Amino acid sequence: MTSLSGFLGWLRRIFHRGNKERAPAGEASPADIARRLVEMIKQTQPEEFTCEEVFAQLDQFADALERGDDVSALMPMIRSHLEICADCKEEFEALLRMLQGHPADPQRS
Amino acid sequence: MVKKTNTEWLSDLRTTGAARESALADLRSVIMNGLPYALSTWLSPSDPAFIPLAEEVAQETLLRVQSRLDTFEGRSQFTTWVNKIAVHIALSELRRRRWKDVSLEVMMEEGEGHLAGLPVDPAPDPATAAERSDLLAQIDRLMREELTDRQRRALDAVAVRRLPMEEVARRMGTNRNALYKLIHDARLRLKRRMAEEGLMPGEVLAAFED
Repeated sequence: MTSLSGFLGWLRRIFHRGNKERAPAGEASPADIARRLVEMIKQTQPEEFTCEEVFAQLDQFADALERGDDVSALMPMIRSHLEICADCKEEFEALLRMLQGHPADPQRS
Repeated sequence: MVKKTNTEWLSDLRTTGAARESALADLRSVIMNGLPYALSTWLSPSDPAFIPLAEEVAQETLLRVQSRLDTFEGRSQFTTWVNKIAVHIALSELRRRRWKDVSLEVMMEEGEGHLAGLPVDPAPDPATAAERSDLLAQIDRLMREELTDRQRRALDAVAVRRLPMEEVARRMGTNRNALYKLIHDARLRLKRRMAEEGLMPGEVLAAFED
């Protein structure tokens, strides 16, 4: 996966199943909740970066993605963390919007 | 858009006088120009709360950048590094404001048995509905059997309820990193236990596909 749009689309597929972005449990369907939880379990690795470790490299990761580098190969543990941690993923996407000068897509917000 | 090399930014910020003040002003512009995009899922630039927040974030970011200048390793664009800090400060503040009047009890809602207690979605057929209900109950049972109370509550809060980690961590008397590690251990236990019980995550996910 080398393209930025491809990477973002892949992240959205991980987090936006059922199109429920950060919806509280009372608003997401049980199927969404189950998928969310099981997806997290499925993605779980024995060794994972903490949020602090990801934050330390998030700028490098964002710049690499903007250049079209293959971040999956170069920084796999950052990618894995962003699959699981909604807070870090939210910060990463906000940073990308800042770098690109684009607001969020209203259909995906 | 201000265009400087990393070397120029660092040199100007490490000096004193007009060059430093000019660099700080340029950096502030970079931050202020970028925040409308960064915060577009939270706050419109036309919202009266936006400008005060952006000013506060820019100020705090500049302070943090100056105090941590020596930690910049030059592996990214300097402005990307700065924007990363600004985003973190901004989103932490927005999450704090959103949840500031919500107690731990309300956040957690004593969530034991939460998955099992949820009504199942309308399913294509009764057999699918029964399968989904059974899977929810199995996952809930594994969580009860395998996890500590603290882990179960943390996983419930973050993974099920999608509550922000910093806010959950604060209310649990810990920090975001420690909370992440707690939940990581919980996920590892559940992954191992699911495998022992023949519950393959891919098959469970397929059962909930519409």
